Amino acid sequence: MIITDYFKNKKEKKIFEAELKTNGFALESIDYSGSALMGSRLFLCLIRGILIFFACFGTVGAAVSSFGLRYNVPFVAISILLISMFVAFIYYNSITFYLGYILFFIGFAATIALKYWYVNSGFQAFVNTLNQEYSLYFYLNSAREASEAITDRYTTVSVAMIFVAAFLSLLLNITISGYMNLVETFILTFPIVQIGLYIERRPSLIYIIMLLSVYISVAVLGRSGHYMTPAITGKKKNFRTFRSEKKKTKIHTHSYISDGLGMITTGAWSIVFCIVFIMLTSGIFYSNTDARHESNLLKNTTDEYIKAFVENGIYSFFDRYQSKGGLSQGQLGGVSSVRPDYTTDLIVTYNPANTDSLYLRAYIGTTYDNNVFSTSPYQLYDYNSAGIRSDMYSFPDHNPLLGGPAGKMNIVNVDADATYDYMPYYTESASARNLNEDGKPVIDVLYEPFEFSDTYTTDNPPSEDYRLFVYSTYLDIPPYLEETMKAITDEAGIDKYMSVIHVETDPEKRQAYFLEAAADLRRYFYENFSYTMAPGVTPYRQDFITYFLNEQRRGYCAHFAASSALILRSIGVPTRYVEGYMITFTNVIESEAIPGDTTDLLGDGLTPVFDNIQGVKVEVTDGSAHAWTEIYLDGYGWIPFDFTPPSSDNVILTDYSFGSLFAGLFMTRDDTQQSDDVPGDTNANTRPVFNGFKFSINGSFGFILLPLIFVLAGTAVLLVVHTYFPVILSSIKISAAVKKCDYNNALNIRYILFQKKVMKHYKLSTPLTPIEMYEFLKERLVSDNDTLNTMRICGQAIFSPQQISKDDYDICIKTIKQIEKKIGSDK
Amino acid sequence: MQRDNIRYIVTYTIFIILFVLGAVFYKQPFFSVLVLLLFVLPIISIYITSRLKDKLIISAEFVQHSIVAGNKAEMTVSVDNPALFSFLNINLDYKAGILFYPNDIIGRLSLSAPLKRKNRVCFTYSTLYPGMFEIFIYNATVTDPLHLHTFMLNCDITLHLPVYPEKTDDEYPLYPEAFSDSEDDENVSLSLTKSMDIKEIRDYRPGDKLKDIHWKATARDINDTLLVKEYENSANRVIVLLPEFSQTGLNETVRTFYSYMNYLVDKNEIYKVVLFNGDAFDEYSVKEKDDVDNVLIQSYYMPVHVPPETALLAFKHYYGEDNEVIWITRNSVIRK
Repeated sequence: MIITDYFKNKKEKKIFEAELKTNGFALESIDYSGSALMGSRLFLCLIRGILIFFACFGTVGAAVSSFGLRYNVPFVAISILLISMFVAFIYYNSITFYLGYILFFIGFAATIALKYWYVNSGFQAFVNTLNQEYSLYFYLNSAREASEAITDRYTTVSVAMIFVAAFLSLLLNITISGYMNLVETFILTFPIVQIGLYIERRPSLIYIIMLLSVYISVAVLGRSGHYMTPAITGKKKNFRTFRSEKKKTKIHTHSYISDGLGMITTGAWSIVFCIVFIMLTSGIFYSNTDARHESNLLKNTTDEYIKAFVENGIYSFFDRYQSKGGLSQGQLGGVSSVRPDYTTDLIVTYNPANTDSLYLRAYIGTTYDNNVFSTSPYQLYDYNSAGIRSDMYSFPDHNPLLGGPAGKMNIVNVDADATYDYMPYYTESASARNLNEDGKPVIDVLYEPFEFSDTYTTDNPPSEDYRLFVYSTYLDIPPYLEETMKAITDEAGIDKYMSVIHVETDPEKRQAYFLEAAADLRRYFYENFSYTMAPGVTPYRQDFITYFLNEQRRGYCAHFAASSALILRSIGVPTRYVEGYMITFTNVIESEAIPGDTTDLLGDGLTPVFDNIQGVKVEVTDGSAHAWTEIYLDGYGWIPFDFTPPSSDNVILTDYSFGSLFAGLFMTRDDTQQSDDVPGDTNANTRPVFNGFKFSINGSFGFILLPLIFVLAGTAVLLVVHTYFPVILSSIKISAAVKKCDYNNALNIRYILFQKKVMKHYKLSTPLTPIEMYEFLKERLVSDNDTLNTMRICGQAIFSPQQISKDDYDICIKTIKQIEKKIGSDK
Repeated sequence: MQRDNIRYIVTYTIFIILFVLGAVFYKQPFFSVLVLLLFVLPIISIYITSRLKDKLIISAEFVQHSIVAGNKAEMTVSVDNPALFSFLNINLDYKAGILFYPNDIIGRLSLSAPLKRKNRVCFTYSTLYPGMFEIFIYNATVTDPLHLHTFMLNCDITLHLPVYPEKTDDEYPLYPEAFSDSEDDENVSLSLTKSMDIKEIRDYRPGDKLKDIHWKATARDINDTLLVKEYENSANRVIVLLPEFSQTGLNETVRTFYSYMNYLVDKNEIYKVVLFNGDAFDEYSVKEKDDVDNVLIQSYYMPVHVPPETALLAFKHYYGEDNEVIWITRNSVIRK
């Protein structure tokens, strides 16, 4: 820089001399003369530090707050402010430039050396949260999760934020202090904020305000060119001069490079504008556009890449892995989310006898331990002559409807797990497994259709031995879950059934209690838990059930099925965990109808739902894979009972045109809920229905009130300070001067206050000397000797080194006060 | 709208399009907010600038009233902004030059005007040649903060600063005849304005010059009365200075012209100066120092050219043979 400056100066000197000779004159220097504050290097660096602080803190704060992570706000804010000031002052002069960078990197390295685990854990906490939220949002199969060495997230996230902000501040220092470039600043900050915004997680508005203020300030200041560090006296110029030597008419441009006051006023106006603007548009900002379900080429492509990145990291761009849905065979906890690919697993042909969901049972989970609901060792793993496992064949445990009217069902296994056969309730018999023309396994099943009811009676109750077997096998819960179960049963209000179940012997009454307890438990789940296909993975070494019931409180079918099985067991209800496929009536309606005689597939005694077709051919995809609970009813047998709440993701969107994106300004969505409560069947028609927009100022107004109060209060405080602070400060200075017997100085300060008052009242633009003041007042207000004398003494105090006496000072003060009083009443 | 504005408008439009696409394709409310912001900002920016721009007060003045060539000239340009809004993009276009010389410098001053403040910029020029230093601020514009529109301001300021030549200690052997102090020779004239012939010898009156005392006659006077010589006074006979300003050696001509005028005034001479202005010429009487400065300044406004023949003939006809015409050109003073 020194060398380039030398050559630059030499060149400028040559140009100067040439101009002087040619024109007879030449511009020697150009300088600003005005408020020292405007051109103060310290002030300029200070303002730029504030801009960098806003950008850094706004960015990291927005990113972290959008995921709900807690951190030590004052500590982080102050740390980032100090770091921002430090980097801003790097550009103070050449010494700070070199020294600053060295110190910065030393500090950086020291932080890594001493606080590595805090930074690492904080960063991992953010990334883990991010992965979980993204998995949840995109219904991903799995999410990567790294271990956090220090689990105190409040501290680790704070440290990590400061660390990231420090690095960011260094870059922003270049784009703001160096170039005041909006595009570069935007590129550095906006993608980080987008991390949360992309999945509709909104940060606190304060961070948005900070960021937008910086963007506006940088845009305005960058274009003005008056943001650079002013000159060090005597060495460089405050103006940047360009000489267009190439043009015929040589134009010299002189641009004033630094304007501290302009910068600060621009920043202040930007903040005020942003606060007002964001308050007014907060309704839009917080509106729910349900972008998750938006589908277009650009978004889908972006989503695919993001999903792959979240699931598998950077390697996903080279080797993408797709997961399939289907049965988990009792394996719980290792999955963050389910992402079915909706390929056909089964093709089921039958004639529905009712509108209830059809459950095709495959896997039975008997015993729970260590996140696995394993199948019972009791089940015989032998196969009949058809190659089908005997425990699955014909519901050997019990078929309460045996002997009743039956229907036929043809099940083609297209792509489901071939280990299992998929049997409807209640299968009477099944044919041998054959292969169809496509080479897929197919079986024909004779079944007696199960229908949900409030009570269940049968002429074919299970045997006493079987009942004893059930009660000895299907009431077990692991000891480590007892406390959790107790708490949940207490919370759900079903602990009251425990005592009655233990003493009640009448099967009908016991059945009633079982069903009531189950219904209460389901209601409890509906009200306090939510369904999601991407609940997030169970943390390492935590129990699946405990984590779900105590912390997660959201999950998919396996969560609810496993939990409900164990909860009911804890109050004495025998249950099982079951996996298979569920065909809802919606699937039936959407399926292919098979023309023909309705009685072909449904025997006499059963009333088909559709009386003009033979049946339906349903393509069951992996999206229909399901888990549910079986409850043993005394005197009846096992019935399926579904505890899974309905999906809350099925939001029906109707009008989401571009204009409706701005509807949140003064309108909110008008959603109404529709619900059909069907016992046992989780496939209730419960979903919010979009009915358009309705006028409301809650969205925007709700956010306006508190910030508005804050802004008004702040403005009032500023006004008060602006008005009275100079007076207070002057009073302090006068008192100090009087104490030191420096009456000249004291009277000087007092005269300045008086002068300001006069100038303000009479709208004068130039200050008046004491004698001029007397002449001025003589014409308008007062012309006595006291005033003249006072002004003379004031003149002496201001201009003469001779000290005035205390008596003169007192007289002057008294006279000035009287004049001020008269001015106040002078209109 | 200027070329710069178009560039920023294009950039601005690209930003809007990008955010609109973001809002449409990604359905992100934040993009909608940004789109709204980008629509609202220019309106506010241009509106506020248009409303408040007329409050700006632009003024300029030279610090000195005149300078001598070789010294520095200082000019202060002030922009007073009484509004509660900072103008960051004010441009003042100006031309600077010395009237005698054809080369002007065109400049542009770009500065800001913070709210409620007077912003002053001080230009310091080094001068080498004498002449009328002129600065003409002919154009003032203010651009809104987003640089989308440029407004013109009323500004037409012309400043003049006379640059006097350096004083020289030249001795001018410029009287056409040598003067003698001999009283015997009554034809000797001590002044170019006075005839050599003695009209009469009279009594001394207060105010008469010492050199006019006729000592011999006084010694001879029986009444011891002081006697002085009174010369024939040719009323039409005046000294006329004719500076010949041409591009060649203009600087030296002005310097000689000024020095000679001062020299004559120091010698208590009263004379006239004729300045040619195209085909016409103007005549100026010089009796004292102030007149010298005024004439010099007047000469600064004259075109630099060789007077045409017609003008010279008219000059000769007007002044006839009774006048002492002294031509001043470069470093020489010639009596013709």
